[in-house]
Amino acid sequence: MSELVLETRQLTKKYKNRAAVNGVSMSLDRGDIYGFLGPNGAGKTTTIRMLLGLIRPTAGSVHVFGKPLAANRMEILRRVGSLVEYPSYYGHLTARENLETLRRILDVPKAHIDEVLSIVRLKGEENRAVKGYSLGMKQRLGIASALLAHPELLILDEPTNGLDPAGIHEIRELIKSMPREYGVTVLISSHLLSEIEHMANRVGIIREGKLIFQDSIDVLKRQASGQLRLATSDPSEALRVVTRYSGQAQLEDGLIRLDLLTNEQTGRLVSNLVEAGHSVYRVEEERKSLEDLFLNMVGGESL
Amino acid sequence: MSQTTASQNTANRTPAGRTTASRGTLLGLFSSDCLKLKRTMALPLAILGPFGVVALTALNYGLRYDYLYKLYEGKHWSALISNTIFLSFLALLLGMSLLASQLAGREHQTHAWKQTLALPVSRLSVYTAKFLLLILLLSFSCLLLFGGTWLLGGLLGFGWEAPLAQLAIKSFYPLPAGLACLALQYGLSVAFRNQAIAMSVGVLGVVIGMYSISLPDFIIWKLPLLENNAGYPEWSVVAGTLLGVVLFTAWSLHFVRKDVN
Repeated sequence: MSELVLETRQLTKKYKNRAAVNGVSMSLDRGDIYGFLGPNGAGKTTTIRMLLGLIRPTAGSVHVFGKPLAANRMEILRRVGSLVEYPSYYGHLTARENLETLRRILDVPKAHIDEVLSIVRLKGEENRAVKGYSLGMKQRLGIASALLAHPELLILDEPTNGLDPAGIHEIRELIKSMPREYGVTVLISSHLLSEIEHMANRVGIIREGKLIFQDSIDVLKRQASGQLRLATSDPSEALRVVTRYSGQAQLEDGLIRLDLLTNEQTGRLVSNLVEAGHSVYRVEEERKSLEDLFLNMVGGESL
Repeated sequence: MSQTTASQNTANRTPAGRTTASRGTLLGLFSSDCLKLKRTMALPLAILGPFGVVALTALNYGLRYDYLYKLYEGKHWSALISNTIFLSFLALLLGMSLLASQLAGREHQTHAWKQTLALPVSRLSVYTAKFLLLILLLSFSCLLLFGGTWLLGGLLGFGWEAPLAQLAIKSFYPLPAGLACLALQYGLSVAFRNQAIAMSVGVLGVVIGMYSISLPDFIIWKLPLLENNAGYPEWSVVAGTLLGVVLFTAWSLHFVRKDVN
């Protein structure tokens, strides 16, 4: 559980004095699905490129499987699969040939090709030129390429970008099964929280190059506090009763809004209202969505 | 279905299931690059070049056969070979630019550099593999030129006993002599995403090549013509190869250090 698969220490990348990534320290345990979130241009892709050794950090370091990446690049990359931004494919080649170009470099058994094709459900389409594929199929081919060498760590940069809801769902299910079925640790980046909240167990949020949140998704969910809404027969009269329980109560569109109460408090409030002669139509809890919380964190610039 | 896949996968995940021999080596990269040539214009281009040169020479002789036959009386073969090399040398310069741009441009277009370089491979091997493939393709062109010229001379009635040594020199020497041009074109094509830059330099090279007979020997676009003050074609070969190695090394250092975006 506590085995660190990936760790960055004060990772920084500067372009002409502007820090694209600034002192990012993140960590992934074995079996994690780590959601790496941030608005476009926050530094996600730059960070991921540094994790793969594609660009050199200005300062700080990347450690994978407990070893520094800079000194053990080949050994580490052998155990890592990746998909960076849009998938790379040769349109004039078929899916099988595309995978074969990678297989020849990785020198893994030919059986891997059929295996990854069936994992991403491209079997039956593998002998068609990739230029005729839909975006979702190309994306799945990208994931197949990442899986080809049976990696222990999978790094996916916005794998659901540009996909329709069905495609997003499919990729999400695929990624969710990775740690369970293949023991793979996954790092997945996205600019949409809703996309990864159902698969990630840990979340890191990056804004303007800085990691502003890193913890389990449950902690994030707890931070998303909710409100109580009451619909009653005579809202303005009822408000007077409610203010005894919560000073913050307000009337809004004929509904009373107040901060969340405990179950006991809620029960007492309702019985008091009933005793005072009000009919209580509805008691609703309105959760602030994670998306709202996320937007607050990243400064509402995410569009 | 997925259950079977899962268990297969787990079985294969053991280290024993992996072959470790030539992983990420130059050979693997080279054979991967060969596969990528499938259904591209690279091989047709390598054939079209020498074919075009031989066809143009044939046209030249066909249109004024009697005149040329009288003009070169007694030295038909050497005249044919000299006529051919001036065309083939320009075709070679153009072919180098086109092929280098084809091979590197495709990697840019498909955003494949980042995928390839995130694999366990050395960047120097990635850079070298494509260069070797370029040399192989152009060697094939030279071979076709050699055979094509021989065939043409025979068909024109110069006799099948061609001066093979001379023909071989003029067919094969221009490639190593042009290695500097090739290293330059390849480096430009890889370094700049925009292939217009490499192609502009390539076309400029061809234009300079056209007038190179009157230019000083150190112009790299003159080297594959095999004309120099020393009077030995070998001089051009040695100079071109040495300069080629220097340029290749410089560009590969750039490639190894480059940030991949």
